[in-house]
Amino acid sequence: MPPTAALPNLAGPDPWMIAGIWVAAVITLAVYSFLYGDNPLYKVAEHLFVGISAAYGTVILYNTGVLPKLIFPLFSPDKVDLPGPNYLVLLPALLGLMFFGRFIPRWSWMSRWPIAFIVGLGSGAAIPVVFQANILEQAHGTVAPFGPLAPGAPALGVADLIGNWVLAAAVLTTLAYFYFSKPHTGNFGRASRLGVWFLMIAFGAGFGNTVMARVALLIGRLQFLVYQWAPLWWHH
Amino acid sequence: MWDKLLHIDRRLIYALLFAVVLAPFLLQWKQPPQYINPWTQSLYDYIEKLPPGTPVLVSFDFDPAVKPELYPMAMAITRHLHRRNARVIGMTMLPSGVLMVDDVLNQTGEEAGKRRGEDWVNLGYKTGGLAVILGLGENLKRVFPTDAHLASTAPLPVLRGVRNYQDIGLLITISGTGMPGAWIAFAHQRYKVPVAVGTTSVQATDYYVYLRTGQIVGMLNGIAAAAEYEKLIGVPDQAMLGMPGVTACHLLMVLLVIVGNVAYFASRRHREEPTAEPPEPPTGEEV
Repeated sequence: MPPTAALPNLAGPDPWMIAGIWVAAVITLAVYSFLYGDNPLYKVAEHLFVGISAAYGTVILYNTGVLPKLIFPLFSPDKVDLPGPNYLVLLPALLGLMFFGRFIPRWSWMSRWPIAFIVGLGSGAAIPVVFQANILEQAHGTVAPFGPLAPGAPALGVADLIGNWVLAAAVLTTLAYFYFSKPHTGNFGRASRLGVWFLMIAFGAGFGNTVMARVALLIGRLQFLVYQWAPLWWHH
Repeated sequence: MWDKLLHIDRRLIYALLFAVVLAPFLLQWKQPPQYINPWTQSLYDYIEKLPPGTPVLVSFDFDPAVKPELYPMAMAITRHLHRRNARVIGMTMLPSGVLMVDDVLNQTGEEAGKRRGEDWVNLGYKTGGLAVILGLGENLKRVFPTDAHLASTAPLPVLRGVRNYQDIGLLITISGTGMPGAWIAFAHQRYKVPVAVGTTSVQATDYYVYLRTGQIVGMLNGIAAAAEYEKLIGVPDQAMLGMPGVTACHLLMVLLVIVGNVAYFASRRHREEPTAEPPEPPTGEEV
């Protein structure tokens, strides 16, 4: 039974919806035709995608950025619940306009100011929290209990304990593999080779996940073709 | 023969893959999930425990390119949120995600008899990335003065009492990009809002590390987790329908990997066999 959401309303077909389904189906097939070999049909689909994405992105940016953040605060403050015009928004607007200096060689220096502002703001905001989220917390997560805990603490199963040991070993041996200031010989060499095995397991898991992801995309398109496009054929 | 197998036309493999994925649809093969991943279960349990009326911020950070993987989980999670009478605040960090949010919220809202503006809202897209995430920690209505339909957010009942992350019960990011990493670092780490992630299978390996440290409360990994979630809420939909195709394709891939490896080693052995005498060692006279 197909999902109800996937089915078009064939009882009273909307011509625009049917046209949309046809366009989507033809473009889907055009894109998949690349699997046979590069061809003009695929090129048309590719160019359509790029052009439409750019145009759509521009309209969305205008509607969700420029209108509520610049035009409304200046000319229609009631629409964004402001008591009166807010001229402060002209400052970021000016900074944004300086980006366009890039197009004129004489004024290209202007674009460096907003870029400097973005880089400075981004770095300042990101460095402390990213360090905490991705290094300190992860290091803390690696230092898990490796033996029975003190009385009163929640009991750890054998599987948990083994998992904690394996995790610590994987982290240390993988780090050993990426440590290049010492020759990979003797015990250090053996540890780094074990690290390679852990890396291979991680890549294998990643590959398995990637297969599932790509197949899911194919399934999505096939669901569309089978449950939305194909019924149009036998309906007519 | 082994060499032929090693140099098989890739178009044949594509055709096989196409047939294997299509067959379950045509044969109406059903395969509900037999196992629920603990991280899928933990997100479900977390939402089950939310008191009715809790504001939940859902960032639909995906576009049509990954719709088949993420749309089913977005539908399942939102259905669950409506069932728990949560206040669903939808938004997106991708310009091309605006229609995805509208699609999911309109359909699930209609199914559950929920009203736009009262029970759910689509805040739409806002450019800025990091600035948006940090801004939501200060004042949500200043970041989103209007919703996706350019209506003022100030009078909306669904946002009553919601000023910033402190008033949000759960933040769910559904994304096929690195966006969950930003939500975890800036929204969770800085403002301590509970975060859950729904992601594509390609990205999932990046986020498992945050589960162990408790930085995220649950995670849905691709179409398989979406099918599990559909089973948990008892609403089978697109993910459960697609799972037989995934299974069939995985079986084909395993078969192809085995055949490829056997062919590789057999052809190597076959090439080594005719070398009856080892080549003469160099005498040094040529140097």
